[in-house]
Amino acid sequence: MNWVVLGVLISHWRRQKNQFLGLFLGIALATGLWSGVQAINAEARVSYGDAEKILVGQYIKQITSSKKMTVSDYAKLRRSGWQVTPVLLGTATIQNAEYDILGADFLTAALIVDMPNGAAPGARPVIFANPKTAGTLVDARFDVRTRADLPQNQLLMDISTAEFLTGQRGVISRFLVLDKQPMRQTDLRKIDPSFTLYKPDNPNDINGLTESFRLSLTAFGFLSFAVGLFIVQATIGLALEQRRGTIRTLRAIGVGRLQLTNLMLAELLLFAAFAGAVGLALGYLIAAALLPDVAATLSGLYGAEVSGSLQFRPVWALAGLAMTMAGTLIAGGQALWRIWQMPILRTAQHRAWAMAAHNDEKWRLITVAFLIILALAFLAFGSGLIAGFASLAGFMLAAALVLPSLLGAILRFASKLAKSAKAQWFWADSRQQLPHLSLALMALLLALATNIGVTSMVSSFRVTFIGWLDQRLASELYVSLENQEDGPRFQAWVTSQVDTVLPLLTVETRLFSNQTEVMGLVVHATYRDNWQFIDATNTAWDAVANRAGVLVNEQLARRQNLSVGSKIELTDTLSLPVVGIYSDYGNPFAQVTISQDLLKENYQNYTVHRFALRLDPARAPELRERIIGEFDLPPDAVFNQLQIKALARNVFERTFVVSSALNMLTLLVAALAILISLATLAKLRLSQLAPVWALGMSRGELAFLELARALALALFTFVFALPLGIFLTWFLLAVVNVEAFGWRLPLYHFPAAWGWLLVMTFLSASLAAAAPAYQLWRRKPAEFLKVFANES
Amino acid sequence: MKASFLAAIVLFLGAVLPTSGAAQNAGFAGLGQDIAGFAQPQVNQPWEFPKDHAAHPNYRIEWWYVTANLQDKQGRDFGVQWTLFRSALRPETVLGWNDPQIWMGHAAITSATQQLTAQRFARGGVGIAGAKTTPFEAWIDEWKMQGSDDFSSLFLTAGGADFTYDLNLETDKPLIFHGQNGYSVKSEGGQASRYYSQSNYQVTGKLMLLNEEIEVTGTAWLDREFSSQPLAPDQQGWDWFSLNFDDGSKAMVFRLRGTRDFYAGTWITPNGAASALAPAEIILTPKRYALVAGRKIPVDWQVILPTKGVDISVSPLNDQSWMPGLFAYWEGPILINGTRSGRGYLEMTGYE
Repeated sequence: MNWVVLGVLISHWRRQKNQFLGLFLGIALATGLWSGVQAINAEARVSYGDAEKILVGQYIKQITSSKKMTVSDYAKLRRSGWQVTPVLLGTATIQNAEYDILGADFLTAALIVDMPNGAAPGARPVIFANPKTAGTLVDARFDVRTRADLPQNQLLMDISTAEFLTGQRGVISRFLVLDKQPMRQTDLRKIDPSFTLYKPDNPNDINGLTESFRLSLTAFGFLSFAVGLFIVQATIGLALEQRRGTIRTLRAIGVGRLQLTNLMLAELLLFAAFAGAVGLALGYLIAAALLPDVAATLSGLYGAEVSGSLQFRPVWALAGLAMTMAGTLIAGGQALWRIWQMPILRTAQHRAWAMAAHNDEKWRLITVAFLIILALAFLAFGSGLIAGFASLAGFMLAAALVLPSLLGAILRFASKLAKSAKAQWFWADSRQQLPHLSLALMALLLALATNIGVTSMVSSFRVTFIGWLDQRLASELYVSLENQEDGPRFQAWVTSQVDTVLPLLTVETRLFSNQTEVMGLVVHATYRDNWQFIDATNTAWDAVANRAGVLVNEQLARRQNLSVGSKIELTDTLSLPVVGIYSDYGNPFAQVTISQDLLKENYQNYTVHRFALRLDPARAPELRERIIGEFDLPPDAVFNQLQIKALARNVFERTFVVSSALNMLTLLVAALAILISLATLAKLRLSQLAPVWALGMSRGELAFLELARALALALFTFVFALPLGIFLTWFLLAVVNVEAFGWRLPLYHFPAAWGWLLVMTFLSASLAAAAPAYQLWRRKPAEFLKVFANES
Repeated sequence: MKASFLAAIVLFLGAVLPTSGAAQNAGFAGLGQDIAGFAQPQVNQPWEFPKDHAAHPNYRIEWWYVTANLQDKQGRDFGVQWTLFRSALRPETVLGWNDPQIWMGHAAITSATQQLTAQRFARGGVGIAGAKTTPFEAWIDEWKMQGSDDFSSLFLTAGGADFTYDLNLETDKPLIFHGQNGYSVKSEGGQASRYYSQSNYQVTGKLMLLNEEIEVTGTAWLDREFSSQPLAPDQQGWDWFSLNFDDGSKAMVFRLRGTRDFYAGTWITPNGAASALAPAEIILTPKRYALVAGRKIPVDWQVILPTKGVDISVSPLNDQSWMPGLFAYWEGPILINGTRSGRGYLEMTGYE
């Protein structure tokens, strides 16, 4: 019996192939877009997770020395209570290929990281390399294993093997300080005055920005999903309207209400599972196509971490499918509820839906009010990312739901202005169609707003970030010495070769009981001309130079509610007003900048190992090489600002590829929604168009007006989407970002991009309306006449 | 770069240490593994002191093991553990990174409410860990046990991120040799170790916690044991008791859990004379189990030594005396009641 009834229900889709296609594509695309974005994010997250778990904090402290370090230094440090692991760096030629060798004492790690399942003890020394490098290294003496996160050409091994391969016996390049140190340890300088505790800075270490990028992708994925669900709801709603007759008949011949509802639920879930699976495949394709660009984006921001090749992770697949099931049920829930409630003998009315529109509107507006209150409550009382997103979802949904009322008002106003009968009919007919199209238009609204939001966000991101790099990396070269002892020699050596040497003094301290870095600058034109403040007094730099003020980063200002003029107590004896607040994107810590002399006088344990050098940019690459050679520095210790900026630009180019691809896909989904709605309406509309045709309007004119209506509605939707998109951007930058990372990205507007989007909107609306309009134009007069045949 | 290589260290550890994978089928911590090339304990092998206090690299495993029962001025009980393990991949020692001797340190302070632990690893050959004489010193990192070559006076220190201790150990009693002059049989298949103790230390010292410094006094027991295959392959762990009675007598008893449990022990009179206990003279019965680190572990015991008139119940100062780490086990101070009272230490391994 169940099978028979299910067969009857499903037969509907055989007659309504367009609808079937719409529902199927709606679910598949929603799932595809969502799971595609999720797949990308999951891949990125796994890569980070691996790195972070092992990294134990972002920066690994190191101990270096001005003299050559040996094995006995290792024993000295360990026996004085320092938990360190020695590192030996070098190069070695294995079978005519040169490799970078990285040796470490593998035994020390057991103290800081969880043990994996141990590999069986091997007779041969183990060497780790990334898959590509491992592929080139074939040497029977070693057990070569792969690790995706190692750089190209680098071999990682135990220090005993490294010593053998590099021929550097008993030598240690540096020590890494493990995260967990004993309660009692001897002061480093007392162990050996030549030791320096050194915390490397990584100019690319802007984890926060990466996170922010991923966050925007997630928001994007979610909105795309919502757009897809609008299609699903529209289709299911229509299908129900059309199946009222069938349902009434089934009920009349004795099929129970519960059974019918259950079967329709089963049908829906079947759809969701089937289309969802197709959607997952689609998502995988989207992700696989975009991941190389995302990987490049993230690795450019973060360092080489995301592998760039997509793995199938059951987590996102299952999550995607679950999301689809839930989403489909939510979208179809209203329809199922109506089946449950429908009186058995109620006449099947095609127009019932539209007639109930007025009633719907009341409820919709109540829902809107409720959503806005909820969103505001989340904003006011919630904290953290989830609350931010929930609030955003509330606002977006409210905006979508209010759209039909807004469009209705616009159409009413237009029909009041209309003079000719034709124009009046056009507007009145548009209003009459609005309820049918409203879901598709809501989808379009969300797609457009997302589009505007994401484009503005990514662009704001780029403008801000590159501007910030220009300001913060104004000097041509930046040098990080490994040993402070080399400082004076470096300064003496380099002074004659450059225009200006600007040492950067830093000291770690605690301020408002949080880790804070105090930076000491020589106030110089480089800073005066380039630094831009979020807020500052007119004489900020003079105040800093005269020891009458401090500059603080945005993070500190936000956390402690500081503004220009607030006093900061740096030490027991030193209290100064804030004279400027600067952006410091990506830095998780608080930072205070003061004049170098002031820092030297008030702090003992400052380090001087960073230097900014001003010189003719053309000479920078050559000087960089010489510094690396002269002071035996790793290549990442000296960087040329031009390189960094080029890298950043490249990163953002990639970002654009990703976001514009997602933008186009979302817009296409919305266009599809309009197409489906119009196609489904086409047959129903015949009875309304036939009288107009009979009054003398040609089919061509009717078709043109159909097209014009779609464009007009799309245009109105666009007009409403624009402020919504700007609001979305503002929300992401000023609320979500601040909530997540403690700094705010400024909002820029990009009218050219909006213009382009308007063109795209017209194009997609035309595309969606073209086929139904063409059909109308080509419809045989006999079909119009048939409409009157039943009237008697 | 730094991240990736630390990751690899972890992966590599499995290959460096005789650990988990291979070890699981060969008794607790791999102690039942094959023994090719290593020296074997012999019956009636003479002792050479102070040389035998130092490391024996030709034996596969060895330990220096101190457990102390301490009290502060208010009478609060504390337990302290100081252990240095040596494990050889090959029966030799060389200078430099290629030394096949691996050292592991465990330290702990146990109170009624707290269990603070630390673990260290080091390879031999580079000076970070070792054990030598003249003067005697056994060390890993900043942890050390050092003092006179006859073990009559030792200084003991160790610590972790949240504790440190400094203890002075003094005794005028002789060393105790277990089994047959220190030849301690561990199974019916003949697995054995060389095993001696100094069971009679008087302790003074300080425990330093994050927010507290505690003066303590008490007693300590030092175990020295080395062998190349102390366990039979079917033996999955042991329950080991050191019992320090208030009347001055002491006992060491253990049970090795295998297909058939294996019992052994030593009785020590108040004047320091030691005699072996036969398996039939030892009855150990678990009385209460506690959930520790997700495992059910017997924490209360009844110990009966019928020939010595001992029928006691043993319960821990802290049920959760768990030593987490690469080879996790239960080790903690115990309180003794019954026909005799006193304090002691209990060690239980191989409970999965």
